[in-house]
Amino acid sequence: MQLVDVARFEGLEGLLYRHCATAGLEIPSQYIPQLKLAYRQVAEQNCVALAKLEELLRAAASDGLEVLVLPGASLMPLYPDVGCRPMDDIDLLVSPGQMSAAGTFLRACGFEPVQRHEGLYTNEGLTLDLHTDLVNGDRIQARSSAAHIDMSEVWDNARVQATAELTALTLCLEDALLYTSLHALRHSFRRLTWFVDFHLLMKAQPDWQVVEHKVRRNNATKSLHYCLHYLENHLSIPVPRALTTADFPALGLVESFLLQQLSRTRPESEWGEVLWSFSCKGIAGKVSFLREFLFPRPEVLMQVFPRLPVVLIPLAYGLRAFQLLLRGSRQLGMLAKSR
Amino acid sequence: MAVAEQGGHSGGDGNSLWARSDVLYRELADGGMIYDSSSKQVHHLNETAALVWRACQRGALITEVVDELCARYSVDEQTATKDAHAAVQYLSAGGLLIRSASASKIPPS
Repeated sequence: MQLVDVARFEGLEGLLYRHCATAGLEIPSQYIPQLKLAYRQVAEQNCVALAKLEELLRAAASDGLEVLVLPGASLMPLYPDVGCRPMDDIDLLVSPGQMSAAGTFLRACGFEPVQRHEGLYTNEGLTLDLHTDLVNGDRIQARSSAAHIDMSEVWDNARVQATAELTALTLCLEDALLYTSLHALRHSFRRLTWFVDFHLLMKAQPDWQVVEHKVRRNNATKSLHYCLHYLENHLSIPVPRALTTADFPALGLVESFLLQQLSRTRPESEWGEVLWSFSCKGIAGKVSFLREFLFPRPEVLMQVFPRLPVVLIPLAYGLRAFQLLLRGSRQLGMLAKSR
Repeated sequence: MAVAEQGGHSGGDGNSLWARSDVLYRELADGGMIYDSSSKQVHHLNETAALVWRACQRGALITEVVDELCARYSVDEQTATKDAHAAVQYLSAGGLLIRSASASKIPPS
């Protein structure tokens, strides 16, 4: 696969174009229109989305709502410009006590709730995803037991970021690193963009002692370790000397194997949640975590099968079992192929 | 903070054009972009138009813009003047520049 194809696949055409343009690297003429178009499209979408977001945040603040902008929108200032990182939606954090009021506020602003997806709102091409924690624990509760994140500490450490791209309340650098590692793992390291985020966050010089303290307190040591390991061993990106993978307990055989598979079969890999289950204590904890991920509560399962009528919820579990069988076979097939 | 369309000087002659301060400008690798939230329109600028826009923001004269274009892109004065005027025309047509008389509320930057 050529570099331009990889960049398109990963949504990083804009970053590639920007880098070539500013570094004086000559792009073969046949690729310029494609890269330039992608760069301009992302820039336009982000420019409009961030402007609308700022307007909304101001209105929300005057309504007494406290809203924190999560990565990636909050990471936009770390990139060279707004054309370098695509955003599918904007993730926002609100306190559980303000979730309902935030929904009412968004509806009053013209946003429509997305059917069956609690916290998801859309208006004129802008999608906002409201969260009350950093691991989507309201969707899969077992995630909250896999990573015990102290949300009051997250809010206490939040900082106002005022840049040309965005003025908003955001996570502190250390929490942003923690969030990005958990997010990437939850999605099986599927997108390279999260590792670019991670790399740029590392370059922003977080306090690694604070990071270490946080991941230990929040039971997120493994997810950070996996991310750093992946960066170092599979993407050849040096990790900071302040905190290297040698500082973590050695990876188990299964963990190492799954990480290797994540790399080999990315972006189709789906082993992220399995890997995350290693953060749970004991066999029972791991099984419980995976059980809820594989067979979540009905409301969540209905999101997996959005066209299935609500009255057929019991059928959804049968469909889910069939779906898992297919996906599992595919993953095992890829495992066999990669060996 | 103006680009004079004619005469090579700004301010008070009714020909000066100013950048609107209520729109959002983003610098890009190959020019710039302006988002006008009132009309919900996005304007993509090439490098020349971006240079003229910045000139409108900081109060440069059109002659300065032409000099900058000549120096940056190694073009002759005639070409640079033509390009600069085309960019001014594009920005004006997009409603992004305002005449000095109506721009009196905008403080010079």
